[in-house]
Amino acid sequence: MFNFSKRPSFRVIDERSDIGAGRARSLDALRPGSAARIVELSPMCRGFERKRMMDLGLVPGSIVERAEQAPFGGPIAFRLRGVTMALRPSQANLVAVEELR
Amino acid sequence: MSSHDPAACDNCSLGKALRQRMAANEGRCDYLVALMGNPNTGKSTVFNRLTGLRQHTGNWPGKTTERAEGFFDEGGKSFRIVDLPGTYSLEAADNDEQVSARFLRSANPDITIVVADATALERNLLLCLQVLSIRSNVIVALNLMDEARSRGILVDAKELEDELGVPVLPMAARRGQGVGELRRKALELAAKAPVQTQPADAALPGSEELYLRASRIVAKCVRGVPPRIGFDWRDVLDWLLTSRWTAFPVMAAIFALVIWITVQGANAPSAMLDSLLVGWAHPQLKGLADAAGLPWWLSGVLVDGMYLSGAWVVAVMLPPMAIFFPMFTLLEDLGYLPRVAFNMDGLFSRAGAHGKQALTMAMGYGCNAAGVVAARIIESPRERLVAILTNNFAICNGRWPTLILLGSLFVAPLVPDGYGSIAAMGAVLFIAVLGVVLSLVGSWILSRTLLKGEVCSFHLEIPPLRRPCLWQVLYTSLIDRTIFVLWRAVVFAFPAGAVIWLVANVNAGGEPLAFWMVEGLSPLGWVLGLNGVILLAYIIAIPANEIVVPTILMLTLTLSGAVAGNGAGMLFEPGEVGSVRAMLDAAGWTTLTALSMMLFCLCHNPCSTTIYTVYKETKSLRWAMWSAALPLGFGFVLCSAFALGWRLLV
Repeated sequence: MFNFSKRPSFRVIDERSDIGAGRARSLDALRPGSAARIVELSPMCRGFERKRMMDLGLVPGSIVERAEQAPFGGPIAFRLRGVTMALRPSQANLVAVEELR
Repeated sequence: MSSHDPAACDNCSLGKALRQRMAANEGRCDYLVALMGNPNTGKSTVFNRLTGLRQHTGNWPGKTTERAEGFFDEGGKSFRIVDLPGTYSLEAADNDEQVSARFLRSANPDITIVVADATALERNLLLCLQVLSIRSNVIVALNLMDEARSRGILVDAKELEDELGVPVLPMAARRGQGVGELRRKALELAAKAPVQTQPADAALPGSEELYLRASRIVAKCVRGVPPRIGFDWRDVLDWLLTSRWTAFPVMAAIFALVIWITVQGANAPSAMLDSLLVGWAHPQLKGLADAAGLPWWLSGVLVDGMYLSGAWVVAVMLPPMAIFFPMFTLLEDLGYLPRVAFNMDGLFSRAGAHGKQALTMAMGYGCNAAGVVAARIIESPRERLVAILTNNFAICNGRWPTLILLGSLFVAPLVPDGYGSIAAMGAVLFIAVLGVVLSLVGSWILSRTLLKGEVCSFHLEIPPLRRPCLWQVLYTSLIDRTIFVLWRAVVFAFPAGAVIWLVANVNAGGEPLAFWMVEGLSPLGWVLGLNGVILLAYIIAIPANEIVVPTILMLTLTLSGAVAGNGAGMLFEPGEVGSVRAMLDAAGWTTLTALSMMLFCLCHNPCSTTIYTVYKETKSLRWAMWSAALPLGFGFVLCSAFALGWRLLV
């Protein structure tokens, strides 16, 4: 299991936070077609959901590429470790990423 | 869809027989094999290839919702193989994943086959590495090698074998490649080494660490990147099917096309079957029965009751199903269904439901009982219940023919010649779309009343589009779905036919029973814009929606005296849909009756099989009752409002 106690303190990420010279943001704020490296999952993401997201490959260091968002504020599609998967914006918001140039 | 889903078939004899045979074989096998893998890696295809079964496999994650078992022989030894539900990990709290993990630890299989998707090896390696850390005697079946190759991904199986330390077999199970090698390897491994297990409570390494290892392994074993030369048809199609502006128009167009082809194509064969089975064979059978000297009541029950309703079911249902199911399976094989869920989730999430509910609905368009079972793919219990209770708003294949028939009989004549089929299709499509709207409204209401709560975890894997295997599509949809569903309908039609004949011919107070029942139901029928015969038909036909129309026709006929009594002569002019219209007109049907019935067809209680399936899935009588009450409530409100408005305005 993921050991919470050993992790350094988490930062709650939202679109306004400017970590690492403005390049860090949450996953849902990425522009379509851009790629990013995952920094961490927010501590707001807990329990089963956290475990599931990590099992799917949303672990620090993974590279994600943002694809389309579904209509009506629907889920956002990502390419991650060779798989396309969709997360709801509220979930993607819990993933802190560092945009790659 | 998947009406052959083993879980949906618990209450039918075919599934029971299969399970009994399996149970009988259980004691007589030499080795136990566990089949594992991520969802949608072709695990069920591997299972089918190994065991020779022809269970349908869909191109979307979570198709296998219950473990299936089969047998195969190799080198004189027999293997029992268990197809475990697809899992991403051995650890998470998901139901399916618990099943797999528990099985692995407690059943102690001799061989564990992990099916991995060569096109997404890195993600699949997580499960491989987890399994390797608690079991020996593991074989990695590297499936979908053909697809990986076509996308420019080259996986070095030998190198992977060295990295993992267990046999790795490249496969293309859809084409049957590598299956023989897998069997031989299983035998070799089972004969050679006894299994070594880690203690049951041994902790698994964390996913972060495993993914680190996975990416190192992938760096060594996977060569070549997906080429991005020119445009790939998949990318263009994918964009069309899911992009913000095109997704909904394309979705509507696809469904409209499917329904239009079904309506257009089903007419002629339906009429032919009708003239053959009803127009020609029925009088022949009647003649035979008379010649054999059967008493009038026996030939009435057998020929006018049971045979006629069975014949009607075949004539009404077979052609639309034989057209609809192949097209639907084609879309499923292509990988369109998860994309529908993707497109719809924005709406479903606002209604407090899960986007995968769109998938269970898609299932429901084939068979609601299968749709209810399919709701297992939704992990959280609240959203799962929402999906189960609203599944009836997906029009099952037993109701499509009813809608199509009513549309072409009553809506088509309302417009000028030549536009009839378009108007009929439009009406049917309107009801289908209304079903989606009602399912959203129903979910919204449920989320605020009976099933309060917020949506929790959501994720949706979108598999790559695949070129469908045409022959397989034809085989699955015709044999597995069409014939299977038709058989069920015919089986239910026989007793219902007998009941219909009896209520129409057993007299009480000088009139048949049906007369009194229709009389009693008429006031309610009038309020709903229907009539007593329709309501009685829905009550008698509760075993299967397929037989509602045949029941109505037979009740109408018997009550008007055409086959009553000694069952004299012909029913109506054979082979002409027009004659059905004439008969209904004579029975007092109006456009309002037909339109109200189309509404009621969408909103009424599900068939008894589905209600029973809800009971089994939720283990609660209360939810089973709600699953019937919810659509029925909607139906009463909608139909009476519609009828009132129609009578005031038209």
